Amino acid sequence: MALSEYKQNMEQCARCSCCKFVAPPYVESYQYAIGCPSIGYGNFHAYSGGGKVITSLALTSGVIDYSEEMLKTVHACSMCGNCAVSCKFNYAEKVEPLEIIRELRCKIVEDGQSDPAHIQLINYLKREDNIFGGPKADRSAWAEGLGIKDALEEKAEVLLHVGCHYSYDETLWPIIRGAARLLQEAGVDFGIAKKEEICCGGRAYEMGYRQELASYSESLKGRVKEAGCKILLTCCSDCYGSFQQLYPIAGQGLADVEVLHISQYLERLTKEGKLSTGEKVPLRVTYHDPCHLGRLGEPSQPWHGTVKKVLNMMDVTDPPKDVSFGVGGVYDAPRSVLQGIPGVELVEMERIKEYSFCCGAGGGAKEAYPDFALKTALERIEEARSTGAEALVTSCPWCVRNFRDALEESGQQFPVYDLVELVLKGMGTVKKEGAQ
Amino acid sequence: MNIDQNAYDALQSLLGAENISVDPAVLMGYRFSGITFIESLVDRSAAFDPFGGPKPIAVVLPSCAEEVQEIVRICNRYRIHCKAQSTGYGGHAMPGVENVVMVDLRKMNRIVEIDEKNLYAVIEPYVTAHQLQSEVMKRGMNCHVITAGGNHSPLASATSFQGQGPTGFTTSCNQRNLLGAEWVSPTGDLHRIGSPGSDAGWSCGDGPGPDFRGLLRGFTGAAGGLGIFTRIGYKLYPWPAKEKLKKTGKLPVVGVETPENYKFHFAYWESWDEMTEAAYHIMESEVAYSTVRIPQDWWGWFLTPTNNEFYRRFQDGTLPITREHGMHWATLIAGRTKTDFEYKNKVFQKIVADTNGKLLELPAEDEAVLLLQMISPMYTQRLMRAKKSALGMGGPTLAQMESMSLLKKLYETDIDCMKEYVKPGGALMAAGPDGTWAWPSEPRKLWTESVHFLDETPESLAGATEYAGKVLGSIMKDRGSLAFDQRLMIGGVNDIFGPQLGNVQDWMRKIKNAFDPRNVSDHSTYISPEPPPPMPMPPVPEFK
Amino acid sequence: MLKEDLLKIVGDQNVFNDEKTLQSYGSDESFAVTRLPSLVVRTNSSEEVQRLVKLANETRTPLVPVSSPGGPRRCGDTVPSQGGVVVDLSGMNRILFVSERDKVAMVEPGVTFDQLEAELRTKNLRALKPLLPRKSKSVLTSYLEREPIVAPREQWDTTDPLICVEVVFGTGDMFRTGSAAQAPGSVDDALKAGATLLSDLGPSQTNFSRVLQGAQGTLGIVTWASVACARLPALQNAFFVASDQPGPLIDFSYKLTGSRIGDELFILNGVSLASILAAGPEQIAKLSAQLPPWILFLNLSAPDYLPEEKMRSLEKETGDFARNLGLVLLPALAGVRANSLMKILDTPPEPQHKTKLKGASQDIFFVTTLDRSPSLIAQMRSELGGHRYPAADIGIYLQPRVQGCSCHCEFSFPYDPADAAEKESLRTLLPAASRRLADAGAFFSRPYGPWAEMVYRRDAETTAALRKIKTIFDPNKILNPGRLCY
Repeated sequence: MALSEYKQNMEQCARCSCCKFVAPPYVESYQYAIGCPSIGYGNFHAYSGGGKVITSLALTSGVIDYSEEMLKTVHACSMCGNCAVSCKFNYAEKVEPLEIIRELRCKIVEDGQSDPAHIQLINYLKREDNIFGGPKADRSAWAEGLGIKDALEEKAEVLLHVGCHYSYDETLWPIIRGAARLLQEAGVDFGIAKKEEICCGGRAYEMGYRQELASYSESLKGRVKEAGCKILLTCCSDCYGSFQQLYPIAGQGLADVEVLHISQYLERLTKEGKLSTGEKVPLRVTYHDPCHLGRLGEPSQPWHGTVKKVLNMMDVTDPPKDVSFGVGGVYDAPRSVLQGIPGVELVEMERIKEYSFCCGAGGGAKEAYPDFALKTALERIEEARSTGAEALVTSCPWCVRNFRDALEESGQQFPVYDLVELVLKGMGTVKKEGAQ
Repeated sequence: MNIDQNAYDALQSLLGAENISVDPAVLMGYRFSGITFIESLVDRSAAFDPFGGPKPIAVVLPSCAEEVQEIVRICNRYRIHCKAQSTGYGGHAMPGVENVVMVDLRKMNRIVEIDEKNLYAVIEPYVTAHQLQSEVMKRGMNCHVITAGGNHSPLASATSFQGQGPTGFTTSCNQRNLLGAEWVSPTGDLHRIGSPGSDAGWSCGDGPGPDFRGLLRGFTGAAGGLGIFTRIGYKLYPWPAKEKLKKTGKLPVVGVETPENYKFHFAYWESWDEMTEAAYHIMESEVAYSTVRIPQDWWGWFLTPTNNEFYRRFQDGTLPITREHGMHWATLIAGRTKTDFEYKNKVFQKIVADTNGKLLELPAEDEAVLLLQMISPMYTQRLMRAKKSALGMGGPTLAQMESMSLLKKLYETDIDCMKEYVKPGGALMAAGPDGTWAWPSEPRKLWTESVHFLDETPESLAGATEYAGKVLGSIMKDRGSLAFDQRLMIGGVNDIFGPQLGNVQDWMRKIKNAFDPRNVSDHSTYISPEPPPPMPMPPVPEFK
Repeated sequence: MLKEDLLKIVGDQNVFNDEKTLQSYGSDESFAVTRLPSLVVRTNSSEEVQRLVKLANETRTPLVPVSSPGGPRRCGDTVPSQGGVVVDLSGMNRILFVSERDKVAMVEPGVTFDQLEAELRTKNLRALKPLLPRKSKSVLTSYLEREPIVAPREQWDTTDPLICVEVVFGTGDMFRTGSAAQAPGSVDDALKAGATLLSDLGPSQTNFSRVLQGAQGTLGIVTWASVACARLPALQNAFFVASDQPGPLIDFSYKLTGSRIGDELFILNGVSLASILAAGPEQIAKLSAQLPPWILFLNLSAPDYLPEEKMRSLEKETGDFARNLGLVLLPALAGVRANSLMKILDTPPEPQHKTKLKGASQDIFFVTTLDRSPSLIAQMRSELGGHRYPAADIGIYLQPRVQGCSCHCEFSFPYDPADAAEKESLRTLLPAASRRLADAGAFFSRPYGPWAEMVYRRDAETTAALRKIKTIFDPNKILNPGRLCY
């Protein structure tokens, strides 16, 4: 749906400000009531989910035009979807702020108003099929020496889609290499697309590049088909979220293959007895739900239909829209894996699961407004510390990278682990590569 | 209209560039009216145009009262209007005049103090009720949460608008929960009202001498139209539960486990007289923590995730609360101890039995959902899922804070006024089947209002206007027992209905001119400095 | 203002200028300077009051409203500081309406607590009273002046028990507040239709009931009001709780208000309680010696719903609170049953307790919070060191108000009016102690007499605001000039 087609939704915004906070029933304290990192950064209402809905309505109504400040309110936003979860608690599908923000960004791109940082990323993408600009040829450099088969050459049950971040951020290679070692340890028949792996296109879409999602999703779906795998496995939450929510939007739903995140697969392997974490890891940790694994990882289908009036005027959707409330994300699997590691004590933050607070890295926000990403990450780290945890664990390269960057930039110290790293510790196999 | 460059420079110099914006897109966030109020029906031709109101010339983000003072002084200096908002929920929070600087109080968001012994909190404008409630419940207290939902600002509700919440039985209403207050006058003077003025804490709002609060707020407040409140002492109430509330269900149908020594009852009667009699006994015995009546169909909105699901179950007849349960009191019993709970529970059940009432057994998961709404309501917003535009939330209906004995009369009058319009194809939503909300405010008086949904179409607006006319006609015939909806007496409405209320508009105008000689505060939600041309009060007013 | 003009308004029999009458209004028991009014008029209706105020505006004559039908008046606020005409409203003493069901009464200014209580008892109700008001005390004046009531749980807001009022402002305009404003025609019609004037809010964006409270008659003359009452309990049982220090009793009081338990609830020091319970100076001294230094009085009541069960539950809970603080609920102290004190509270005897010890008394009272009161009491004791007043005679009364949000703290200084030296020592002590207390955080929310200057000098912005209020409601400064900051 184009932005203008959301007019009725936009008009339904009551400007109640729920979108600024965590979903109403889950406000547990003064300090951690805020759910939207964007309003926390910019403060003016336009930064909130509802504010961007208003901007969208004003723009499509011809009441405003583009301006630098307007674009900043749109781009200093990690597209984390908190606004949608909080809004839908009361309004269900009536407003759909995240869908509107996505369409607003697409319109911005169509109107030639992209953020320069985003243009750079897209140029990289177009040139090298990844948004970091690393050479295509180096895509699987991380896997050197691991003996992983090429899933496009040799049939494998599991296609491991690594994603751009793990492929090109060498500091994160211990995680992805560790994941591969875990799969090998469990005897999983898996392969990677090697240098044929391409970006999922999700980040591009979140930045407003609809066409890039269309083309990359089509290509990637083709590769999956070509590989003939049963399971599409990814260690990247962003990719996972793209597969579950964005590919259906692009008409490239991956119905023929089981899409799993590494946390889910590790849980399965553990339950099947193929992996065992017997090494004690005495650590009190808190788990940060990545947005794209959680609320943005909830499988959903785009809706096409009409709004009917019943009882004289109550709006109902026809056919009924399957509303995504965020509850169907991957929440239990990473917790189950963590709690399966002897010695690990999980303490929860207040903002978890579908109302988790974003790390600040998503949606191209870190690239366009690094100060936004820094502030947001530090707020989350502070919440993690407040639980008494000794470390923060998450399951997304974007989150890990952003948290570690923020800690380094602010001169703070707080251990941040990927889930895989802790599992490796639990298996006693982490010696050189697995640790931070 | 653009801001005077010198004024802009002064504001920027005061606040820093990041705390002022004149960007058109940013300003739209302070022009968009999410909920249209009665002025939309009366004054504005484009009642449902979300950008129909005046556009502010700038928005500023102060961090403290001193900055607010200086902003107001700058506005005085440059003859600019200003208007403050907290969360900005409701059309009244938006500017009503041109040439206005919006003061977004978002950065003034501190809970300054929670005094557990003396049962009050000191809060700034952008603290939400949910934030405050979450903190005070940890300390064995509760705060009043109005039906608008916990994302509202208690400061705004207590000082500048109005607020009734379903726990009113034990937490009163926000008009009466204001203690000491800090207020920046429209001329930029900082007043500390009550004990704060004598550096004697925030627990007391009256005096020295006359109680200044009564000048600044009444049934409703000035909605940002008379100075800016920057900090208040806010009354808290005991909360008996010892343990933290445990959530049940999943979004969006979320509930809470029943705390120890708590019990939710849904009691219903076959006549309004019996239900009223029961209400008197409940008030007299003080056995309830909260007790509420809303139109019976509407409970289903809380129990279903979407309108589609609501409608399906409504038609199937599978919602647990049906039209035979219309005359009800959904009641929360909260005991401090097991003995206290057993006493209250026993008395409540005896009252129900003695008044020929019945108790409806609800499925446990539904009971949990309704229980949460009895403690921390989100009524208005969940109802707006069905339809955003509503009379009651946006226009004249019957509303009254008075004797419980008036409940039946108010209900029957409303039914009489609305019946034409809720038929199939009618101008109002055919769900309810009535629009009457009611609960005891303190265990002494009735708070009731009727809410009716309307569509954003000329036909619906016309029908709703007819309904409103019938309501006003009924009020004019039966003054005293029926009353104007004083929640909506803001702005120009005072000049229409004020003559029926002791010419209150004349007194407000004197207040306005005494405290705001340069007409700096946006008067659209209070009173204009000069009277408008005479606006006759017909028995049935003609809305545009 | 000419007497002839007044006669036209109120009739021959209601205008007085005889020396005796004038003198009875020209002074009171406070240390206010005596000043005789030029006339005293007694009004009988709202319309007469309105005509009187309009006439006063025309002639720029000060009016001093007085409601209680008899003295002794104590605060100095009705002594005409600038002469003028005393408007005696005590003849307007009808109880216009009582709703047994809604627990509300509508009273004129001259209705006394005695009178109201008698009427309410016939309807299973009781008045919400301050501590032992004199028999002639106007209910309306007491509530307008925000005298604290002894049952803080019934006071949800500082306006309570006052609800709606009809007022003639200083401009001569008549106005009704709260839900009374909704019936601009006949209030009787509204009452017949079922309204019982239960809400103080409004009309619209005003709440002038609040503004009139604490105004000492400087903004308007209230001609009737609706007032909240309480149901007579089915059962009640009172207790004393004793302590050497106020601290434990304050903690206990917080437990009660934090649970909304208890009806009548206040703390007294020994001499204050002795003054209430004993008949004369010697008995007071004797009883005072037997009593502990600090006593909390608590009355528990149960409504007519399984009252025995309720009372058992309340007694158990309060007993547990007390025990946890090392305190004991005592049915009697020094041979006096707490239930006897409850009876005294219900039917306050004459003379007032404060005057029993030495014949007269001066008070210092202010608002604070209970937890701050011990330090303020210490301030007072400290101040006494520099004066010759006997510390043992000072009565202290701590009254939680507004459900425990704040506390009325009152020091009573009994004195012998014939003892010039003692009187003189008080003349020095009272202002010095008041200043010291204010410096320490005491809030003089009801600034009578010399307190006004002390308070308003500290709060320039409030003073400026109150002066604007005066120009709105009484632009010609007709009403009770010289009071507050007017």
